[in-house]
Amino acid sequence: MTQRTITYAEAVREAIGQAMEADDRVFMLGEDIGVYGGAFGVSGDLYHRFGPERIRDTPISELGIVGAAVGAALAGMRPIVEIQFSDFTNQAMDQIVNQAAKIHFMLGGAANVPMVLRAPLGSGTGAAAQHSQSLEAWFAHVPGLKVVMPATAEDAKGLLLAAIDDPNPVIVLEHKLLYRTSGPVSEEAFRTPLGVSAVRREGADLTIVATGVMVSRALEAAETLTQQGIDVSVIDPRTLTPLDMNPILDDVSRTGRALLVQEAPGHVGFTAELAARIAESPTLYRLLAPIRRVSGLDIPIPYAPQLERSAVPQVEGIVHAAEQLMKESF
Amino acid sequence: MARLAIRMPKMSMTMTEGEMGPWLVDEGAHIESGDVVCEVMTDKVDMEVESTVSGVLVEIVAREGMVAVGEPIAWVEGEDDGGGFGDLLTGAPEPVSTPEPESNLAPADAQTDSMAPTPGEATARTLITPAVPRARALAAEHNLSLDSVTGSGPDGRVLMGDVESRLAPTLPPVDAPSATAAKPDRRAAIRKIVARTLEPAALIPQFTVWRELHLDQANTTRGRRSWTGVILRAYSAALKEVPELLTRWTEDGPVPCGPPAIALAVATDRGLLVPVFVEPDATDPDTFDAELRAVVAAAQRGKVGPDYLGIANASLSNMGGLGVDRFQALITPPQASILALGSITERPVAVPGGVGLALTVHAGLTVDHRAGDGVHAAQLLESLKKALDPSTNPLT
Amino acid sequence: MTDSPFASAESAKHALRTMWKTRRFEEAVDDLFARGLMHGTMHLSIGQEASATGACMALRDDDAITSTHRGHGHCIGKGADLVRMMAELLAKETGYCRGRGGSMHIADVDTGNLGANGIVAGGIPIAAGAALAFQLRGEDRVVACFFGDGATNEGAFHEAANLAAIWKLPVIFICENNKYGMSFSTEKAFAIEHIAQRAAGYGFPGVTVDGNAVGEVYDAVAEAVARARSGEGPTLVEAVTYRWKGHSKSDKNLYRSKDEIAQWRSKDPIGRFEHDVEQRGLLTADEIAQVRSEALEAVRSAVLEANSAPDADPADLLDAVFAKA
Repeated sequence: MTQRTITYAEAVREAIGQAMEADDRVFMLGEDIGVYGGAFGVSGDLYHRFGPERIRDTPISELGIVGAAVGAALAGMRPIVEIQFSDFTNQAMDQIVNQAAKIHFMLGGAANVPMVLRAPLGSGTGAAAQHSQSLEAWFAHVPGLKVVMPATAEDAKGLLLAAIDDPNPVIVLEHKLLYRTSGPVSEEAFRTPLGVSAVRREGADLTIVATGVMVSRALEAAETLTQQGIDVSVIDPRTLTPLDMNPILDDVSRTGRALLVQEAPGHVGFTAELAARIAESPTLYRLLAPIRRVSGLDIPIPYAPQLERSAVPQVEGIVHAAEQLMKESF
Repeated sequence: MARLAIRMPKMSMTMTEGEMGPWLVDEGAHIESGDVVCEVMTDKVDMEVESTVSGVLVEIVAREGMVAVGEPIAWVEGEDDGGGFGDLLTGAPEPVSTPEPESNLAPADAQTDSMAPTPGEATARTLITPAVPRARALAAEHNLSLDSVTGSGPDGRVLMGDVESRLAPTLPPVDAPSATAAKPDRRAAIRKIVARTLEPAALIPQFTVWRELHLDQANTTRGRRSWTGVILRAYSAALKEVPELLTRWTEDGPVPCGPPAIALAVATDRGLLVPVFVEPDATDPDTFDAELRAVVAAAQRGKVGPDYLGIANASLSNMGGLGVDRFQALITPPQASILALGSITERPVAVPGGVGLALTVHAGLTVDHRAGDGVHAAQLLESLKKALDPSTNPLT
Repeated sequence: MTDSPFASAESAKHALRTMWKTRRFEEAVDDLFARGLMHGTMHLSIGQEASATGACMALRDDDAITSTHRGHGHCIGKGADLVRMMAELLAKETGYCRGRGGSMHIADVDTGNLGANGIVAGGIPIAAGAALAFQLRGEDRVVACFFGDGATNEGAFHEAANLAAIWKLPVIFICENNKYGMSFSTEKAFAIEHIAQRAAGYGFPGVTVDGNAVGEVYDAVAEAVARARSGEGPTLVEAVTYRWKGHSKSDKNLYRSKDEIAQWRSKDPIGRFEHDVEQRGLLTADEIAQVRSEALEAVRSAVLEANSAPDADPADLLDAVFAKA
């Protein structure tokens, strides 16, 4: 497979374009995705390639358009609905949680809702509290929704193509700060399977598990830690539901130390689930020190840049936490 | 015309019975479907009951008290318009069974211990020895490497008992204050440790072989060196002559377990510590004696250095200082033998032509019968005797 | 079936049979629940049979509907199997949803019933989406979207109505106005006289009809269906009707008077239709009686057959959350 370097946003666009070329049932609806090219530039020239029916601009009606995606999926299409900021999924929660997630189950398996909801998440752009949230734990907590957080350009494409193929509703959360980052991406229409964690780096002393933009911060922290003689693994679950714990448990069984990192506020976050799963497994007996988490503060994201920065984990915070964990033992 | 029931209706999702209130119509009255006929007090609130049938109210069945949902409260003579659908479900009403929901099955985290760490391998990515966190902490506290502890939990998991018995495997102390000096709750803990360590011994087929050893000659050559050191070295030399007893019993049979490594129990304020002496006979007697004294002194202060934390394959137990003539010690698993000594004292012995006195000790050697037989035990004692006799063992 | 209830004896029988089956089904549910033989709660449409029957008669088999928590009549009108419906309510494995959905989530995808919905107005955007799918694929199928007066005050109604208007989606919005959103009367909930007036706000036609006149309902919906099928977009049909029973099984009817209930009962839509078809000579009294007993028998045997099925099985609950690829 030929790889070349493109941005995360371009990778998402490429996935949508390739999916739409291959399957007439695929179409996208969202706000400002047409001539405007998408609020984060993701849809780009798709409108010119596929036209206004299949790259369908909508009024500001999140509940309506997510519901329309549910209905279209029920009626045999494969819709992608882009919600401009993941914070706005709140306007559409009934259709996501009460309808899309539950229809297959409530109907005893008689119908599917094969839709994808894509939305940018996360902080770091000064967009303040209502435009900067990381709500992945909410979606992961609802049975019936699959949830992915691609952290690389390649995964942004591969996971999205797999999500479009999936007969279930899939929530794809793209971190805003990743859109302009670049990475190697294969040209072909490849699928990265949902429910498979990725070991980004293998180390001997400590295992870091991170999602979204925290993956690259963890990798940066790993470089700094290497210079201090601390050799860390970095594992990216990529899919929150269904969750692949095996590589994580295996790695922690070899390092004995688990450091779980998330941008979202710590209270009741995704890393709490990771910690519980580690502690409930036989890996508990291979721990050399307590499980530790690095999370965002339990506050809404503030506006001022230095405040915004301090509200979520940064590279130095991850380094510091790893150093501390290396000094800990039971 | 038919006899139609007015029944206690279920008026909320949670209601299972209602308490009869006043009747608003009487027997003999003409009623229409939809007419309010009585009141009922439910789990939530007072409700009016409407008749579901039309006709003449011929009998009021319940005027007061509790009535279960679905039971008749009155009978009406009227036209059956087919509304009695519940009657179709004959016999006891089919309770809508609420099946047990599936228990929240945790995902199968297959974590098989296919790669147990090989001692000596330096690769940092091997699986960590599994241990209960408290056990891990306890071992670390005593500078005990978990690799030297046999884990008896699932997948070789090291449990508290494994670490505790590794720290205190045998019974009585040697030349040391008795454990009764410890506080009562500590005493209970010590008893529990001992119990946990030795209960497995009850399942091991073991036997004891006795010999009275003469120590006069050894006495003259030892000078000021302690008997403990002399006997440790002799025991070690003797074990080398009986390799059957330098094994560890496993499911697959006896496994050779290296040179003699003899455990010696030392009583401390905090319980028994058991330094292990590897091949003491490889060191000259004076050096070993000094080493022994230093280790025992350190142990009495609660410290055992890493060189003495190896896995023992034999034990020495000495009750001589307490006036005991002879005793029979129990095997400490997974060791193959244990040597129990009574007091070293002058005893009457047979001499050519009569009875004389000699310095003797009654030695009881208990052997794990799975590892060795009587002949092996006898041979060990014979070797021990020779090792203690300077005329046969110039190094004594 | 796409003929008007008054077009022929056959269609008259169909209309009458459907309304009686609905009435009897609801009475059976009512009775079984009252006797503690049925679990959960039920929202009965007794008194509203004409609007569901009349509307569904104007649809093709390959058209779709979305329904509400008070949806048994819509399901039956769209051709659902009484046994499978009853089995669902009795929490049996053979129910439409294998006992997992209950009354408010009955769907019959094969007959185009995209599902009842437990969320007020939940089905409205879904209906718009299904209509969008038909439009994108160039099919001339339409979606009939049933909802009540209360739903028209939910945001979902407005968003979906607007989307249907701007995209000219082939959807018929059918508002069964039974004068109450649970306990809140339409007099208090609206500052307008007719809900159909709202359509003008989005730019498509709205019409108010007597929801208890099955012929009138049919006519209005048939016209809206024709519009939708020819690509002219949505219509709002307001069918004014009344429910005899409380909102749900916990409703004590404290918010309306007995007189009001009695008055509407006297305008029973089924009785009215029977009178009309007899007057017009479409059906004889005997034929009417025959249809009544057929309907009663169908429901009675559905109860028996449904009840004899095995209870819903919890064995594969965890596997039932996600569809397999």
